[in-house]
Amino acid sequence: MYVEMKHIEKNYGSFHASRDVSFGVDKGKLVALLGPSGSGKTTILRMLAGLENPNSGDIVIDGKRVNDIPAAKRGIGFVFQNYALFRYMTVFDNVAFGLTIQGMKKADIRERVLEMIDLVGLSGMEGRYPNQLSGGQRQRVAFARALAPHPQVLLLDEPFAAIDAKVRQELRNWLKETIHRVGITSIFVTHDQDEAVEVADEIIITNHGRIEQVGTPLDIYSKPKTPFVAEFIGTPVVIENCSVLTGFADIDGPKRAIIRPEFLKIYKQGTMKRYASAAEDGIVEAVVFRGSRLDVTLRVKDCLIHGEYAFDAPPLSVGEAVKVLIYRLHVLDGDKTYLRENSAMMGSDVFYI
Amino acid sequence: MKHSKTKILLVSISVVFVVVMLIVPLISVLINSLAEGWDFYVKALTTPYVLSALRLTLIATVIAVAVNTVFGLCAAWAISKFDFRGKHLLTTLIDIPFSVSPVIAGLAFIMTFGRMGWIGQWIEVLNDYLGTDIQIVFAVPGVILATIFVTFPFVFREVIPVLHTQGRDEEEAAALMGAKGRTIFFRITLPQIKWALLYGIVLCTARALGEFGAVSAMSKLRGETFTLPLEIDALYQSGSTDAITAAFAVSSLLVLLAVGVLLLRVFFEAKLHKPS
Repeated sequence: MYVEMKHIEKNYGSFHASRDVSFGVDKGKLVALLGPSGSGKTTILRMLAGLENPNSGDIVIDGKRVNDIPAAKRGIGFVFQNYALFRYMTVFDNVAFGLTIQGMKKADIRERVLEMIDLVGLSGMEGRYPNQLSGGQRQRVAFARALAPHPQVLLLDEPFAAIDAKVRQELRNWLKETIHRVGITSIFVTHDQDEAVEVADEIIITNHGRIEQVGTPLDIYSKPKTPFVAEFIGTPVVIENCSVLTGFADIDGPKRAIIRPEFLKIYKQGTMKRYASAAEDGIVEAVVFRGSRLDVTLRVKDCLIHGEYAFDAPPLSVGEAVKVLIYRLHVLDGDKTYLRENSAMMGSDVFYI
Repeated sequence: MKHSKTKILLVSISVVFVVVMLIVPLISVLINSLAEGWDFYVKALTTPYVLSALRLTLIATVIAVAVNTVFGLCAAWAISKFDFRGKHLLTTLIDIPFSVSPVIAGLAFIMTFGRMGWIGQWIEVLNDYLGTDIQIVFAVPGVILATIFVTFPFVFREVIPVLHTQGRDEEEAAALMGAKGRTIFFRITLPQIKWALLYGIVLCTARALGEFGAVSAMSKLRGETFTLPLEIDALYQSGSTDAITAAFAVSSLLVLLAVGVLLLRVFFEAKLHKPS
């Protein structure tokens, strides 16, 4: 483990921001701290950076306990949420700032700064001021500034929050690619699961100051360990009593469950060829056009659930009766959760893909 | 159209009010000051009393502005960058000179620094011990103290909103890269607050030049502890036609100083609100 937090506790007055936070990040990995606002993810980042001190617990970077090492000596590059570029300095001076403080020679500074500006693709803009740059360009400058002094770890606080949706997508890819190219261990904070899933090698999910789960995006998505993660990831709908649904009547214990849109398929009446006995009757309550697909709200046995429907398939109208096949759901059992398949589909010898 | 009628009415009221209340009186000062000719004007401005008052006014203004700039910066920095108990109380206390009549401030200084006052007694003890004769009340130090008192919120008030809106991010970023307090202040903070600071200094200067009440309470000797506003008052109160014309002449000097300050103010204000 290259960066590690061990049993970290942090209080702000009566607010418990971190509760027994422990995790590790391998060298060269790009990790996302994902959670709703107020879940303690930014606190974790600021403690790693040394901008805040934990009440107890150890922070370890490259085998050294850094709790008592001041922020400036930890070898951290930090990209702030609003970038915090020095607005009265040019792009060049912004990137050079950390190197100047370190007392590097002028010629070396120039070389390194130009190398960084080239890395982020802003060559020729050295003389501009931050207010003459677009949001995406500012983020690139912030990134270059953070990387210039050769930090051991790069921390990014909501790196895409201040950028409009169109540029964001492009920047995500760029950032992921550039971080992997530089090979620096990086941790970023986000509340946007799409961002975390898309960009990160690994995701740490926080909630109420605790860490709920650590895993690859695929792990988090397909095997949520806690009800919180199951409810947080994707666009789930919670069903209070799932045993009323066909194929799930034989569930013992708690009946609360989560159905994600990708766990079900919608068929127009009479188009279902297989598993008809495992399907439910549903009524279309609402249809919303989402560009590449339709989001459909369905009423099934008095539960409202959400499904997706191809936009080029035979159209659905509100009030129409349809067949709904629910493949699987996440059963919420106390502080655990498990995946449950539709048992009515099991009997069939045809394997569904 | 009702809308344009309202507009004409409001604009007329404002213009008439400004002309009657500000422009006409100021022009009358300038015209009256020249009522007895240019030679008289120059003579009125060069009497020993006026020269002494001008000197003291400038000294008091420079010292008050310098002290309040340093104080205002320290207080604004402390309040916007750190969290501590009594922060709101301190912010409110700094505004006291805005709400307390300057005369009351002058009297309060007499009670504090006078012979019988709390601090005054200790100064007496110090004088006896060192064989010196430091006087505060009814002396130049008192005039300076009074000027400092009435002008001390200005720099603070102008700088603090700018520090607030700019946040701590840039300073934090600089600190993370290893910059020390001095570097952060001169390279990050000062450029941010430069125009607000200069604007505060201009307001502070304008107020210091014109202060009457507090200084009046602290000052008794014409030609020694009188500032320009006190000298004008003394000339005017003496009642003779010549003296009144001389009062106008001295007033015109203050008006010219004020116009200069006003121009600076317009310039800094434009810089301050320029989008950056």
